Amino acid sequence: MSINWQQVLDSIPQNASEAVVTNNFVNPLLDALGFESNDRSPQFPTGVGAQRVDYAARTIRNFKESFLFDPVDPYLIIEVKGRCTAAGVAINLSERTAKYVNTKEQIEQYLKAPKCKTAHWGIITNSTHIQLFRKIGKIVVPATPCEFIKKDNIDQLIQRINNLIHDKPKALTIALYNDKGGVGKTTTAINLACSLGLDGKKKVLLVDFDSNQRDLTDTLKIIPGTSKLSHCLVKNNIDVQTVVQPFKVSGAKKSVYLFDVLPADDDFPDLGSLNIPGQSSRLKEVLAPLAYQYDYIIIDAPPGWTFFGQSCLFASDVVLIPAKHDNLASLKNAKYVIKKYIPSVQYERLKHYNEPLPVPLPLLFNEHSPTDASKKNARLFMHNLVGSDAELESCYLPHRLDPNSTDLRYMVSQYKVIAKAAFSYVPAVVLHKTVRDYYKKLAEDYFL
Amino acid sequence: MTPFDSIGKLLLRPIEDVYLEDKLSPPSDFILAGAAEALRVAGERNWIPLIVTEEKGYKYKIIANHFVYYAVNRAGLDQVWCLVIPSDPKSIEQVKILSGQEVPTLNLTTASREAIESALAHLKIQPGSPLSTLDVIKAAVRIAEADKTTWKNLNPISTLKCGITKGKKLDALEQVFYVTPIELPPPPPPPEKVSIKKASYEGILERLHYLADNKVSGFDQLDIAKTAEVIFTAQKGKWKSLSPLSKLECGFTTVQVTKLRQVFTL
Repeated sequence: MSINWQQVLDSIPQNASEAVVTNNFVNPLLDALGFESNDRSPQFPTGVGAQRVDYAARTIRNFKESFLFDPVDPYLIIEVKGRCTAAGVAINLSERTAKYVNTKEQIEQYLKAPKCKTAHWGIITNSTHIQLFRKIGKIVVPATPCEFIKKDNIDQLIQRINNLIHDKPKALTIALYNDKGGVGKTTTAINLACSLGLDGKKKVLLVDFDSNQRDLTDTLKIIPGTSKLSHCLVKNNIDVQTVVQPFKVSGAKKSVYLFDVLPADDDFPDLGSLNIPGQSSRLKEVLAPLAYQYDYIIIDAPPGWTFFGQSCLFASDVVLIPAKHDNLASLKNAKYVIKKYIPSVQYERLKHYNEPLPVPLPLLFNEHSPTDASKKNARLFMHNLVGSDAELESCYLPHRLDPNSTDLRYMVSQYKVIAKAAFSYVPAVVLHKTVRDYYKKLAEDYFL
Repeated sequence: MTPFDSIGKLLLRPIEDVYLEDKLSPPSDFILAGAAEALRVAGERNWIPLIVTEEKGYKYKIIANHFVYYAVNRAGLDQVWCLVIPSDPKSIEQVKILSGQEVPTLNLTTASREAIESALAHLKIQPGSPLSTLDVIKAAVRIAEADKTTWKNLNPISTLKCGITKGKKLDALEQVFYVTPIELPPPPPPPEKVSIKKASYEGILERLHYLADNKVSGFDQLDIAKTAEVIFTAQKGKWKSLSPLSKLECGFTTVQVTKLRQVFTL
């Protein structure tokens, strides 16, 4: 539907209340996004107490159903704010304001609420700012920056949101990265991929982008074919699909498919960056056609801030940072990743794609034999490392309220069997039920 | 230049990903054959890179060193070393100037006398230049002193009596000079008319300043305070019109007297 957005903006007074913004802006917005009046429902209950999100919508194209009268399984939800409070105080939704942080948390909560499980998209707006969020499983990431709406950009902003929400579903791309080595990146990548892919639940692609070790490729005993990932990076005309290899394990009667792998190859160490067009932004371009074929793309990145690590972060939506609670360097380096490397990549992603990505996930602790005392020490160390930084706190100490807690939130015990599994070229998740349960919980805690 | 783009990087790209947009004539067959041979005997690596911009789909447009492109093609090489530059107009212009493809140009509207003199000296020594007999210093002074703010082209130079006449001489200047006329804001409304017989000195001064500030008919060339004084002290009791203004010692032109009628009555 064609909307005259100039007129729409003219119709919203500077002191518009939430009701006025809803009527004058959100309704035309839903029209423009293709949701007819029967496809939308105001004050949609999220299933958490009396909590309601301002609008929910789903396109229904038959005459028997109506989302308006039977509002279940929304596709999009919208949290609306006014331009002003009832007391006349302006509401500023620009990024980094307290109101923005609060509204962002609100839409994230709503998207994860029981009755919004089917929702893929969330919008926050007060008609002065607008931002779209994407949900994949449990993960909510910004799909656009929080944009300031002006007469000369509103058509493009709405068009972009329209294109994004009506695009085919895309994979969540996860980079496993820590500047420090030996923290279990490859082990986590393999077993997480396996856990997500077991029973054919999710379609997973595992990318080995470790230039030196190729541990992932070797651990799974994958031999790269004649078509190589390094060739795709250098040349324009090679189909990356030809590099993908399925990973299967042999069962009693037949082999079982688990996930696909994009293996590392012998030419990686020579890649440097001399021959790669677009440099560290190139991997994202190469992986782009694969994003529509998988639910999850997991990239195993090498330690260090080189072309390889930079490429992995640039190509990802979220960064999972493995660490060890008794390895102070791994905890300290995680702070560098969160405060320095990820923001620098976000800046470039905004410049190249207008996407404020990637975002860091809470730290994952791979542990051998943690004790309450060692975990307490780790929490104290992290407490000092985090200081009063809210972003760091959400990554390091999600349960900070309880200072005596020994909870490290996401922790996977590294049984010896996991290391031994490498010799059998089969992921430990496949071989051992205990390990399987651990990684299943990990996959559920973070992603599913 | 960041790790996330190719700018400033030396890349080895397939020759089919590189293209020539400017239609430049290739060098002679003799030169090309020699260049191709030189490439072959020295390891088939072009040590002088193509200067390129990165375009959509990782294609590369040649901005400078086109000769290398012809030579690499002639030598039958599959790949060519390229230096990637930003694709903004200023960077492209810089590369074209530094590689000698383009002569720098000078904005005459704002150029200093020294810069004008240097540009004229460059034009004078060009082979077959129509300006070979030009007195560069004299011409530069005349051009520098002229008010060029509203020039829309270089034609007014021919009226400066500086030795540059219309035709080949003026045309030659276009190789290096251009103008960016400054749009003057519309003049403010004129002050209210006052009787020239009754006006105070300040009243006359204010109106003359208005005409001078807005560069009306050469009033800006007059000594306004002195002119106001002449008008103020002139015997105007028997004036029956404003025409006697033209007879005052300040030497108003007929056009200026007409303009004075916009701010004075009898």
